Amino acid sequence: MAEQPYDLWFDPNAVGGDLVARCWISHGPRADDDRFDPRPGDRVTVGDEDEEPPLPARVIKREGDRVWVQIQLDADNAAVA
Amino acid sequence: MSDPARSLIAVFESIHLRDEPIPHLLVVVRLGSNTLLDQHLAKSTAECHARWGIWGFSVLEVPGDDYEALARLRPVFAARRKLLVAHGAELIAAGFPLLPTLDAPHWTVVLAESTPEVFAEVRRHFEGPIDNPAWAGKPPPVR
Repeated sequence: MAEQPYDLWFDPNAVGGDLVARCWISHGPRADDDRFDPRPGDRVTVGDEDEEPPLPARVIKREGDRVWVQIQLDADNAAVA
Repeated sequence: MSDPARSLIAVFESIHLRDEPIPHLLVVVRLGSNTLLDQHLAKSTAECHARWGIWGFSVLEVPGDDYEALARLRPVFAARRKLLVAHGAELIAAGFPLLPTLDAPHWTVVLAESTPEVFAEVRRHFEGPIDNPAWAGKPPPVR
């Protein structure tokens, strides 16, 4: 599967039941993009360079390099949740 | 020059451990096929160290060997096709302590250091990737 671009790298194993993930801008593909300045409320995408396509998420908190996002799963992915 | 808005603050959080013994049969999973590659573990262990001051990475317990139950506790689990699986007792016996961190079913596998050699050693204890039995995109069972 071709890699799709995304904004922030995330570890899916560390995502909580509330679908909140902690990300570091410096760990993602936009680490060197000075224009990337995610703020609470912004829509972003998160990915981890595995088989799955990036997921949409909403920024809920930002502290410097660290960004908290809430992942937005679609109905199919949330079907058993 | 680094952007001060992105600078890190080196303050560790307290680790709150659940008062929970390690179950006799603890099956833990790590989501994805590439998740134990060096570059992934380097990021995960760095984030763990920055948070708590220990090297480690997240795994999820499969409660009662019930993958659907895990999907209910962690909805993101159902969005992943592949998993790597390990047995808690085997990890502990091999010198990788397991800490019951955050809320169940989250555990942290503790590493002595964040190096390719240690990553290779812990990787040996995970099997797979296997298909995720609780993947939401899987076809319905044949009747």
